[in-house]
Amino acid sequence: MIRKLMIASLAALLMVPAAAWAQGIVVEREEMISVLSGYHGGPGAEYWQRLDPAATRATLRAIIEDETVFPVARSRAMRALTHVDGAAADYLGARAASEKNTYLRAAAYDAHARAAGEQALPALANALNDSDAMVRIMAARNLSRLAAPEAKQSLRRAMETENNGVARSIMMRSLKEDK
Amino acid sequence: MDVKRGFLIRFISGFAVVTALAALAACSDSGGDGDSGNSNDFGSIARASLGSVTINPGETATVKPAASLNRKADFTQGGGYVNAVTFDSDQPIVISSMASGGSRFFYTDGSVYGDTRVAYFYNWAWGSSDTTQTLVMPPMYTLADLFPSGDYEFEVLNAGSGPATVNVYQTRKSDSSFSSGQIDLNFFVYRAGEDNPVIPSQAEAEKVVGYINNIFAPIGVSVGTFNVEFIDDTNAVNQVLDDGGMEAFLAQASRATAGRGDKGINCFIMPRLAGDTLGMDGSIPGPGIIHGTPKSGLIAQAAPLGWAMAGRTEHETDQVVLAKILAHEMGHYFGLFHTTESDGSRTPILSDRPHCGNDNDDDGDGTVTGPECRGKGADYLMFWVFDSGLVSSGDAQVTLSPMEGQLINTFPAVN
Repeated sequence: MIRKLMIASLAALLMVPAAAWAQGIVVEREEMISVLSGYHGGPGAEYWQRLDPAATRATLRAIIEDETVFPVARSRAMRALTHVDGAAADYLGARAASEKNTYLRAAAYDAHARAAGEQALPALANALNDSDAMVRIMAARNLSRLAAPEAKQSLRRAMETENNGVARSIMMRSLKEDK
Repeated sequence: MDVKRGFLIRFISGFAVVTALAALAACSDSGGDGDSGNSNDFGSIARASLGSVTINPGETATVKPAASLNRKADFTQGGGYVNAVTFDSDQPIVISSMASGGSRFFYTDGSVYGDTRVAYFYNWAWGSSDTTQTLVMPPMYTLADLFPSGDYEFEVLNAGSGPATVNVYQTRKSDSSFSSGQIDLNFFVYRAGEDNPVIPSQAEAEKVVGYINNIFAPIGVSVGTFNVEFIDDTNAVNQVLDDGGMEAFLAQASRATAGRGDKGINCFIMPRLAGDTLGMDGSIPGPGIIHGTPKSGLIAQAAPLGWAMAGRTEHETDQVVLAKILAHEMGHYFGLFHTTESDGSRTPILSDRPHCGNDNDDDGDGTVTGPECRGKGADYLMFWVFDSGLVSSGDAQVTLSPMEGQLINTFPAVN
């Protein structure tokens, strides 16, 4: 009987999917900053989904909020958060509204839009008035992807005052496609 | 299907003759760059179009640029010749074999002939399918004796679905010592509707070049002629923000360099790249000094990060970061792979580079990181990570090994 139980336990152990084993992977802060700092991009969703969700959420948020960290890693951390954090949309929306660093503010709006979908519309509409051109460009790009009529209205309004050529071309193309 | 078509490009002596004969031999020339832009003699470095061959899908052609590659007679101790042969096609191709006389350097079935050190350099070519591929012979001047005298031939497989027109180019340089050299650079600075604060003017671009010189100084390489153009192209700036848009842009922009009369490495500098990508090179190695192929350049992000390294202002930091990205991508262009890839693997080319294998993956996440690779290559320019932990603490992370220096000094864009 004991022998049968042992064999059954072993079999059950072998049948556990590899992904389940991986749920316990905890990547420390410095390691994660490095993972987020590759020359040619950061890891995709499958990487983040292999890690321990709670620990990864906490570490990613800590990296995003640490002003001493390489901004490219912080920006990528925002995008990574959308893969592991059910509350990422709200968190990133708040981050976008309060972020002083323009490089990261553009990233926060972009990641917020990815996480929140149409719910991001009010924040993106506000971002069209941002003082930084890249923030407005990111906002215009993301609004262009939304089907809601309010998105087009925001772009149309912004067109009246937008001076940046890239932002204007994105807006014009989106409004043209809408006709 | 293994149908072989003979195709012979005769080279008697001098690039003018090559060009004339190749033009006669050419079946068609759809490369768009024409010979005028890619047949120039810059003294110790020269380039030539060797003509083209058409290959049907699934078929193989033998391309034999004859005595042009007979370098051993010239490659004497203390100086000699290096050749890069570039195959540029409108279909994916595989360079399935390279041979000379009794020596076959690799074959598509994975067989290795000759010296394994040489085979390492061409490892990537086995089964690798791309529209543009370059082979450098010898890949390092220290391996010159492994390349026999005589004609060289290449088997080119059309791995695409339609007929392939393959344009063949050669870059050749002579060098007396291979101990130092200069590279020419073309900066194409794209603006997002306003000046890029990282590199807003010629004078600021020169500061970036100064940082690049600092990086390559230990191996005797510096920037020679330097051109900078500021470009307002709203579509391009928007395109490279799309996932997948960067590669398409790089190919288009590199193609558009056709006809340039200079020998600069084309650097496309963008205000922001998708996914915060720092940079990307068209191919490893790049096509020598051949303009107009989809691999004739590299791309880098130049963004104001609002972050400062120890002892530097934010603006200086942005420029140092850009210089490091450009130098890393140039390293790829010269033929260097990462010292270690993210998963701990490596392309085993240069034996003096430290390797950080996956046995260093302490947390088991499948990646080897900067902190896990301290003392094992994390401080190298060609490590896969921009190690901000090292950089912010004052380590520039720009180490190049002696063999990396030899490889860069061999590459025929460095003269």
